[in-house]
Amino acid sequence: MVSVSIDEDLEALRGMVARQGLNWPQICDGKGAKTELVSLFNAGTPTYYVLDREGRIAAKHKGSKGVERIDRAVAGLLAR
Amino acid sequence: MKRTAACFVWLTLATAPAQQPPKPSEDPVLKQVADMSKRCLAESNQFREEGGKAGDPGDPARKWATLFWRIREEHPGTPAADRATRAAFSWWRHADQDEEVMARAEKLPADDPAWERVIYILKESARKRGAWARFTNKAESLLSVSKDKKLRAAVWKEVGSAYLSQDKPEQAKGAFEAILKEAPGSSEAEDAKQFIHEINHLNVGQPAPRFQAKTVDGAPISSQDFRGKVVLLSFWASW
Repeated sequence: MVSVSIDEDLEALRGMVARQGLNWPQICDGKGAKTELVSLFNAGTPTYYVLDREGRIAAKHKGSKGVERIDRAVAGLLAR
Repeated sequence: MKRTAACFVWLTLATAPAQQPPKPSEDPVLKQVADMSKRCLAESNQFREEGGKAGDPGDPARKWATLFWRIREEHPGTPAADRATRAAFSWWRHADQDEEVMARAEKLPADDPAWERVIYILKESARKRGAWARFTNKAESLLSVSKDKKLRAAVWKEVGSAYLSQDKPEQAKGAFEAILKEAPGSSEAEDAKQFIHEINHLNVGQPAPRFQAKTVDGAPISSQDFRGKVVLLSFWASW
């Protein structure tokens, strides 16, 4: 699990990550919408990409509705 | 005119040029529209917080949309009418009144300045209903009569987005490429390049872009670190 945050306030983000116990990598360079990864993946918020073990895109989803398909995609890949 | 939080926010790299409308304080009707928007937003938020859903007959958004439309009719051709028109359509869409959106859009003259916003709303209504004919006809008609670059770019962008929603990426690309041809260097062209990039390179089955980045703690991280692992990459904002 890797998160990319478009927050511009790194301190605030660190605080929130600590408080919520988010123990996976949080990518954030403070550049907000100009973050390179945002443009590489043409991401909005929220946006999800599932990558398989060979680094290929297995699923993608934009928006907060219907995210279950992402859960299913991850589960499917983990089962292999 | 922004309202309650959308469930998805695009992050355009280029900031759109700011419009410079007359200040509300100098135009009493414009101020009235601004006040109405604040009240509408507050009532709508409360309605949703109390469990109200889009489509409920008691949705205050419906009442407000009608009031905004009345401003348009009482002060035609003014900046206030433009704002009120955009607000009316937005709130009808917010209340799932898509038939209302489509019917009113049919009658909105091609040279109405609100089209820059309304074409997006019309596309959203079409998408919700899965019924594209009226949107497509209107978009084509606007493109055939309008020479306004801003409007044309806005229409092409929605045409592209509509094609993507209908799983027609090649046609979507055509629409986005029209923006590059007609309005190179514009913020819409920057968005269009992003969409074309996605259509070409970000499909299921394609290799994900390689990247190198830093975590919030300053540690380096790269896509190579995840070879052999299943990765869920999630883009978010803490607010």
